[in-house]
Amino acid sequence: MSLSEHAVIVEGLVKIYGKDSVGINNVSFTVSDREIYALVGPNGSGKTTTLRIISTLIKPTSGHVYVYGVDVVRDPLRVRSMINYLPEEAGAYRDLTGLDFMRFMLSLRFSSRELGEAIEEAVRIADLGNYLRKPVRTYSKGMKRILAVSTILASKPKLLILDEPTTGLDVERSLYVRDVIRKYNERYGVTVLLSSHNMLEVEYLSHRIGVLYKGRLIAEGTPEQLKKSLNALNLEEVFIKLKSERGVVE
Amino acid sequence: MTLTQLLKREVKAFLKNPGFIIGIILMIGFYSILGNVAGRAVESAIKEVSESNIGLVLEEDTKLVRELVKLLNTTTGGKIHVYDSLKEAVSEAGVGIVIPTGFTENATSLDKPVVLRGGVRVATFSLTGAQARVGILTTVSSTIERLLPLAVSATYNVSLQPGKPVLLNGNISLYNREMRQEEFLSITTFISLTPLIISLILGMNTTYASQLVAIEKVEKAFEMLLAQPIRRRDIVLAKILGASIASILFGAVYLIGMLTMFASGASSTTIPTDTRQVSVIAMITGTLGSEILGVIGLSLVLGLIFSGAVGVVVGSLVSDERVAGALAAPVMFVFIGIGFLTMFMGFQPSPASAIVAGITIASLPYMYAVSLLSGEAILAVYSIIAAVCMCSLLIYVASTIFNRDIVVLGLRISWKRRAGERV
Repeated sequence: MSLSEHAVIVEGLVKIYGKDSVGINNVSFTVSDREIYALVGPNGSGKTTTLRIISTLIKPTSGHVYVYGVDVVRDPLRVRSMINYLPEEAGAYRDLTGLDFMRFMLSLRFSSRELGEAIEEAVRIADLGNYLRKPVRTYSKGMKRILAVSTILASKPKLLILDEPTTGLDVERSLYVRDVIRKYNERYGVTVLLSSHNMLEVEYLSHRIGVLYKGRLIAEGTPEQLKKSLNALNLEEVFIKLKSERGVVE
Repeated sequence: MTLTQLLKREVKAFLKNPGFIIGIILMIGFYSILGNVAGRAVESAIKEVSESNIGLVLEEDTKLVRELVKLLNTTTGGKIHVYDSLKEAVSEAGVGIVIPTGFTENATSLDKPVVLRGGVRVATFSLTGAQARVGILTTVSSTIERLLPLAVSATYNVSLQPGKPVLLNGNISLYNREMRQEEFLSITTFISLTPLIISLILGMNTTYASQLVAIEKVEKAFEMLLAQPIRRRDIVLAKILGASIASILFGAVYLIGMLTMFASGASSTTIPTDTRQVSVIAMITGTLGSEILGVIGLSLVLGLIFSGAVGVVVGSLVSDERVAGALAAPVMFVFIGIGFLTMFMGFQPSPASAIVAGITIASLPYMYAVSLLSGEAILAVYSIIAAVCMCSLLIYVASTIFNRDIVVLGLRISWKRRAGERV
């Protein structure tokens, strides 16, 4: 198998923060090109750690991660040119207007005409109207989130890494963001790796799911496969059953 | 009751702030060293004064002068040596006083002032050392003033009115350059104070830079920025330069204010016959050349890069601006402490001192002045090279830290709980 055949290859990934703090332990999975892959799991299961390592923000203790065949530790700058990352609590510079924030972030990737088009796209996705001309400090939590999501999406990376993309958004906005993510995946072939607590969201969006628990990947498959194998009605039930069956063994 | 709870919360917030704890340790450690060093400088200055010989040049040889010299020698514990010229006295004894022709006539006249000429050899800009040296001249002239009535009484068996003033027209030989006492004091003060003022600006710059990074973390835009296809080194440089621009604006106003103060400041000699008004800035540029202003500018630029990098390092290690503020404050005091150290201790013209001055950066103008006047200009070059290396090193350290997990995760300090302690 060639490394560049997959969007993401994670092999035996380990992250130890301290003597008594293991972030993730021997996690391996792959994400195919144009796939939407979701990492689910409770708080502290290692979702954010995994996404941060893939996004080149932190380095693994051991193991390997390749993004389109490029090692995230050896060539992080090249990896960053192919990805974009939405952190769980992404915010924006309080002194800038929403529009200026979009312009600043996108100017780190695009210039001239491409930059103008990307800003237009971000403005369209955000749909914040006149608020975009107001300082970010006047925004609600949901508005800040939609601003960050739209800026990230408009950059149209090969791999989109989203940590809890709809957290802090109301139902209407959440549905809208899910649709936009799906549209970008289908229309532009953007590969998506996301994490979420929201099983409904995961079931709606994802082609495949990886279940993390206490830093280990305890199950992987399509939503249907997981539900069938555990005789569960939905993903929430899948998670509860997995936790009681495999989590206790930990 | 409510107030107690609120107060407890506030105190706990500070005590649990790692920046506060590290800051306290840093302050105690650094200022203990600073106090020790300053104490030694004062001790050494006192010792120098007490052990210093006094060279006398006798331009007239009268009974009164001989009596005065005898009394002076007894009072100073035999430290009086007689020389043929003031130059020789200053060169050999370090301090020289001329008993001029006409001294006896003036001393015994009711309406004529007693005026002495004097000189002292100084090879430091350190305020403590320099003022101690100049103080010797003042001490000797006041001793002569005190002993003169006794000498007159013993010589002529008459009593002279007490308190007849003895004036001293003192010259300073600063690294073999002759200058008047007030000119010397102005230059010394300027050169000693400049590092302190630069240090203050650098300290503020550290705070600005650390806040720039820490606030970005609080605004939650930091991780998004780090995931963009840009070099971490560029982020570091942008932050250093951003903080420097703010500090340059502040520093420029401060320096202009200081230079204006010195430029408009004027001094007149203490000798009533000489009423010339001399601009201090003219004295400084006259002695050290206008290049000294360029060196101050260079120190400021290098210092801002240096302190900006320190600030970025501090900001990178902490999780929010609260901790950054608590940690940046003592770093600022460390910078100011370096300024004080320079002021008290000074630097001798040696390669080691030149490198230390370069590493601290704020002391560059001081070292430049020392190297220029001591005729060892190469020392200034050593200092500038050391300063440039220090800046490059700090930028490298800041960039390295930006490439580490710590910039995202923050510094984690954990105090182990004792067994059985409640969580």
